[in-house]
Amino acid sequence: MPLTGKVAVIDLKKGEITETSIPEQLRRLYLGGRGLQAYLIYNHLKPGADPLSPDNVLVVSAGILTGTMAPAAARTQWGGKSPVTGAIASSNMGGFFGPELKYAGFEHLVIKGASKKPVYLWIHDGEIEIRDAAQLWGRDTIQTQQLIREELEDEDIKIACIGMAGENLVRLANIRTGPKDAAGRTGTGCIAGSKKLKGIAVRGRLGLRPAYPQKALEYAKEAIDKIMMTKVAKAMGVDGTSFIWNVTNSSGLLEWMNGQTNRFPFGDWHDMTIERFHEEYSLGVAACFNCTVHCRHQFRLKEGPLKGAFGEGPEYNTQTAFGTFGLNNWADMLQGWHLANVYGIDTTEWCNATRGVMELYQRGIIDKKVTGGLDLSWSNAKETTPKLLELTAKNEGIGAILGQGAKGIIEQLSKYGDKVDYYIMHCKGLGKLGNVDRVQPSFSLGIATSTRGADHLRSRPAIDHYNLPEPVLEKLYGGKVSSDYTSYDGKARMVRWHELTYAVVDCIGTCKFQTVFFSPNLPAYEEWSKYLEYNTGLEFTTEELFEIGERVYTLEKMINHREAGHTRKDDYPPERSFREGHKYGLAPVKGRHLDRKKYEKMLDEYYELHGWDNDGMPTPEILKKLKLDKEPSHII
Amino acid sequence: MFKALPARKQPRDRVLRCLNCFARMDMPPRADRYTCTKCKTEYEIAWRAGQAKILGLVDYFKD
Amino acid sequence: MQKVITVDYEKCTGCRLCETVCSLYNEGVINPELARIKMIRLEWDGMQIPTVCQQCDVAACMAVCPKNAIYRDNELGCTKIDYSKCIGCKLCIQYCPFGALSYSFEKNRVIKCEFCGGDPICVKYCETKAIQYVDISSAAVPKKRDFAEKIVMEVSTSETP
Repeated sequence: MPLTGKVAVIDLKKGEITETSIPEQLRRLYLGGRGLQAYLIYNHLKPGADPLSPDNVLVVSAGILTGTMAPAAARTQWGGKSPVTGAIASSNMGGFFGPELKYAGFEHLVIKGASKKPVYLWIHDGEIEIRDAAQLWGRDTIQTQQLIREELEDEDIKIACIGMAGENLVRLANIRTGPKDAAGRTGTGCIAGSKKLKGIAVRGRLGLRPAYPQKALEYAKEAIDKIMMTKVAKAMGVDGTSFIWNVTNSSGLLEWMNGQTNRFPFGDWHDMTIERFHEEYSLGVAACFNCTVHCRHQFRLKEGPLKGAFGEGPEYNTQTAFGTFGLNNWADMLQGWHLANVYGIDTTEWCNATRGVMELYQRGIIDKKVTGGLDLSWSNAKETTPKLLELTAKNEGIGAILGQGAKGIIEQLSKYGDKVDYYIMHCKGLGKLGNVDRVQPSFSLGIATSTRGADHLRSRPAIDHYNLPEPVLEKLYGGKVSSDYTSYDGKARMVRWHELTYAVVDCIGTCKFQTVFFSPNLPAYEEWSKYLEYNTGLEFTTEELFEIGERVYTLEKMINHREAGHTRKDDYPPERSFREGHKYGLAPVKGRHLDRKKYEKMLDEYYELHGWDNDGMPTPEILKKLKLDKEPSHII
Repeated sequence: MFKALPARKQPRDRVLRCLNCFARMDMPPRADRYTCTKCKTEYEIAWRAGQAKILGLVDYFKD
Repeated sequence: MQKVITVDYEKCTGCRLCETVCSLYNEGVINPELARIKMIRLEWDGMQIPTVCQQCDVAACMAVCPKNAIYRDNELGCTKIDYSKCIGCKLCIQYCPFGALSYSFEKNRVIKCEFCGGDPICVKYCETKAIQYVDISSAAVPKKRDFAEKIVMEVSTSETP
């Protein structure tokens, strides 16, 4: 049965490992993946723990369907308490690590305490060893993977590891696998570094047995055919997530210079397109586990100190991140991207931090005394980017400030001027992306209320941009939602629906890109119920799955409240979104910004739909309904 | 030089939506420019494995 | 007409679906280790290369088998294992120059690609057609076509008049 995946609790201080099976009652409440992870965090994390202390936990959770015969069943969630925000750390990774972990017999790892010396975990066919990582400490994220495979004499081992940044306790450090996959945001790499955990190596030969092998196989084909007949599957398969860039740029929905302008200010936008990347760099495309969409690019750097290095990517997020602060060509952007990957630095957070600090420099709030002599003008980004990345990885100089993320930056730099916090664009301490959300109530509400901070994957209702007919939206969301992406009407309902739905996706472990994230014609509840039934034997109705989404999201909210005191005051987008409209853009975009009154009303609606009180706190009724009043229940 | 992998034909490979007014835009094969019939926004058009896509605006936000 | 599985590694994206469906269909478990086709990934060079039994006319596995347990099915055009004769000596695994045979540690027997009886499942699930199941007479035509297109592109973009 594919539900043989165990939970292993690993105490790095004592060197003790205990294993448990997952009882069906927890499966029915939390499924697996991100859901069961929220449960494990709430039950195992010492309340009020310092994220860099041994009391923090690092939880690794493959999806309940990861490694099974569901399309793109590739994904793994990483979490704990975030060194960046002080709230929940939660990040999802693709590639091949998760399936291998499942084939090795484990679905969740709860890593506690801290080792005195650098170690790595070696997990293979039901066994877990804690091994010495002295020879790996100081190595970058690619070298580490190569060295472990050499040491253990198996090229098929999958490894997730930290780089220099995680070792040096850089708060926004990530965890990396393969050439570019990452548990990027919220600093899970820093948690690992604080435990002296260099990485986790897995190799599995146990396999998984679906409950209904024939049905699982046939239904996978049916789902794949449905997925591959959508336009977005081809768009992704050729251009990757960058297929979005041309459309958002042409609408005025990208912002540069930390949100000061929405017209590309650093030269010719043609140089920033994925078409230009194809002409100059692309070697082809590759895929994650069991995925027919193959949306990741492959390239080789052609000049500079990293000439000849092979890399994967970029993503839309990379293109917008590394393109926001002065880099205006692929050579420089890919170099920055590749450096961040080998150092183990989260690109979204780092680029947000860098452009925030560059705006402070532009406005004369900080000067070269603060930057350690570096000229942080936008026009000098080509020179400073590699230097800043290196300083960040080493946790030195201005890099030590960048590496802390928004809250740390505001804390350290506020002494140089007031309004510093106005220029650091974040929600709950997590930096926002380089896209324009201030014109779009659904995106703004999404980043403001996301349980991990300003993030685009918790609820991003991308289909809000498609101007779908209102009857279609009403059917999908179970209530009236406006087709107009600048409208507030029904957007609270839309955001909540996506939040809960994506939580379900993160519990099952299939790729979000093959779901309603991109198109209403892509798999959703009906398809996931079948994936679940045929692979695991467990039956869930749409309503039951939706309730699991609700439970998971509300539990994450409880974690945030317990650990970081989050309430309504933390559910707002950056102040800039309310004050400034952009100068350029197509008709829906130009000059538009959020209306405070309408936002408040939308937030009220959102809380009401969730069954939370006006301060954004789950009411006793909703806790009882979701059985969260029993938590922490310490079942496993 | 990038060569796209074999991809399935999607029925609406030549249909795009205007980003300004959301009107439907039916691309002639191999078009490299297209003007929205409703709001006259002019687009640069590119192609991926037989599927039309917006590359950018012809007048990219002039002052 | 015999058919063959052709491999165009330039089209392989490394998704491993061929491995997961093969193992599930033939061994009843999702386990790439038990697949008869293997995708070799050269991860730091960005290359993915499917490798599968070449169904040799003069097969090393056949030649080395002490029990003549490997025979050729001429209709399908593939070599097969007669499990009533096989003693599991594993010499075939060692002598195949392509590494095409492997050992199922679950069922304790040698396994190899036998075209799923004439309808290879890996080919059905390969989205990019990196692996195809085609008539032996036309097996090289896609490659010839790719080459011809390349020549035309070179000629039409070259600077000589």
